[in-house]
Amino acid sequence: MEKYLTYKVEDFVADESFQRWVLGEDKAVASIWGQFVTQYPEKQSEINEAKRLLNALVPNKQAGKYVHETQAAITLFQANLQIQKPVFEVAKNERPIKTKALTFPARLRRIAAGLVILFTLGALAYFLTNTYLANSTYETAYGQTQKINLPDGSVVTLNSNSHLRVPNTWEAGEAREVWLDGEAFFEVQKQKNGEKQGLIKFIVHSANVDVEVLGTQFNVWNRRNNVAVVLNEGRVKLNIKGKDTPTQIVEMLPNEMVEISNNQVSFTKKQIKTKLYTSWKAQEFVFESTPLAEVAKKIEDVYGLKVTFQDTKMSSETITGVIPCKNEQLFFDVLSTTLDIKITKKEKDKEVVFSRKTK
Amino acid sequence: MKKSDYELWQQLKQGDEHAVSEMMQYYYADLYQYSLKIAGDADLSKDCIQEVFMEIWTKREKLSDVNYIKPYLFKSLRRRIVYHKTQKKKELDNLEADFDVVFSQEDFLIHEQNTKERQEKLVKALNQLSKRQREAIYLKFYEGLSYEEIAEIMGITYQPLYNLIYKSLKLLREYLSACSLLLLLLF
Repeated sequence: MEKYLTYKVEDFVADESFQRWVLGEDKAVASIWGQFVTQYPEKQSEINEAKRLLNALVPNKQAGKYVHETQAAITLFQANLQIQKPVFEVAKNERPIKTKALTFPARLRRIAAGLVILFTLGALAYFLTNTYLANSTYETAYGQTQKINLPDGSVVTLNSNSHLRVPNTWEAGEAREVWLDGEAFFEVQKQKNGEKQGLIKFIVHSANVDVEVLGTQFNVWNRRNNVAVVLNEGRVKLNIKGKDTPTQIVEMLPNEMVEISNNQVSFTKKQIKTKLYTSWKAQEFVFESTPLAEVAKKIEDVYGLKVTFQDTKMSSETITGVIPCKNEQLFFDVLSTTLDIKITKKEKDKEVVFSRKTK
Repeated sequence: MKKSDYELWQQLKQGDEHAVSEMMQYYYADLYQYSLKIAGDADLSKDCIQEVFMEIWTKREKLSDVNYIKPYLFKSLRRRIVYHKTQKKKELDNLEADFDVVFSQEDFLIHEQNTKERQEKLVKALNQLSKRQREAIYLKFYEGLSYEEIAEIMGITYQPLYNLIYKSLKLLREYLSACSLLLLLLF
């Protein structure tokens, strides 16, 4: 205790035991300092000044400060984590409900054989039967996503308002083919080709583009006759079929996006952050300086609602953040708070109006 | 009951995501406030904090044991901000890569015995200190960290840090008494 006798005001303030005493953090030191004060009253004035200075330095820590920032950061962290996760952890116990494959009555076919017209009709009927009954089709409503386990162990996540057709069986050794309308994320497992060398291809048919892979993860968006393919890992080959031009072949590397518009004249390839395009799988949108015009497209894709901007300048404003999209009402609530705008939904016209708040 | 820092750290090392959320829940506000002070840039602060947590998550299997999480996070956040700042400064061709802590009135509690004027004087006095002095004072009195922890965070040893704080307190007193003297002379 004697060392405190040489203490000046600064020494007291800088002393951690003194700090604990004044800030009431430690009962044990309280008795020591109490004793010191009674024993050496001549130090009282210096101790008082030290206490005043220390108390003045006590921070104003408001409880609940940065609560929003904390929550937003946790959400963002978890979203980033989801995107980094290996994807094969996903549920594997769902089995698709298979529709029964009907074989076309053989007798009718024999009669039709002689007659060209009937034959044509028969062929057409056979084609339709094949299409609708030898296939499993999956459809999602607005605001809904579905995970589909394919017979080869590949997993497809189907986004809202989308349609996927998968044959009930793939011929051994033949390419594995599926047909997509809408948007889906594919996690394709590699499949060895029996006795032969090499791997069996997996092909996604969309509007005018066939996406050909061996085993990778990628996102295909096919709406309003436009196609965009985003590659997360591995390699894919795109066959872009033109109306009058020969098929163009494009190879893609991870973190690239290729967009093909319906005029088929050209395509664009660019480097992107895949999470911006695949976050819908975790039922949330990740926006990074995303123009509202893009947000409007996603709203149309996912909820089937057309967005109208009251002030056309708004469509070029941008937004950054993560918004859960499973619950439509919540999504619009968060969006309107974040952007500080008014969002009015017109149920009848399947339309939402974005307008500025009137002051 | 709050689990110990050691237990929480073990949970992280075993690959439990919740451990990270829990750490963010406890320390995010402090980290953000500190980083706003030294970086003066909200976006940069948020990015750096995300990077800190993402780093401990991805490297969780290689991390050594930690008994006190808060100073550990402060240290790696500070290192990141220094790194980003120096990158930026290089671009701007500016040599001074140091950063600045600026105090404001709202940072401190107003005690009954501390009137508003006194508080104003204190803030002025604090902002007269050097950048390093201000950062040390902030970590000591605002964050309530120990000398050992602050030394670790600022990358210096115990004695120079103690001297830094001691000198800061001395200067503070001088400024404050000079102010009161000036007031006495004026009135």
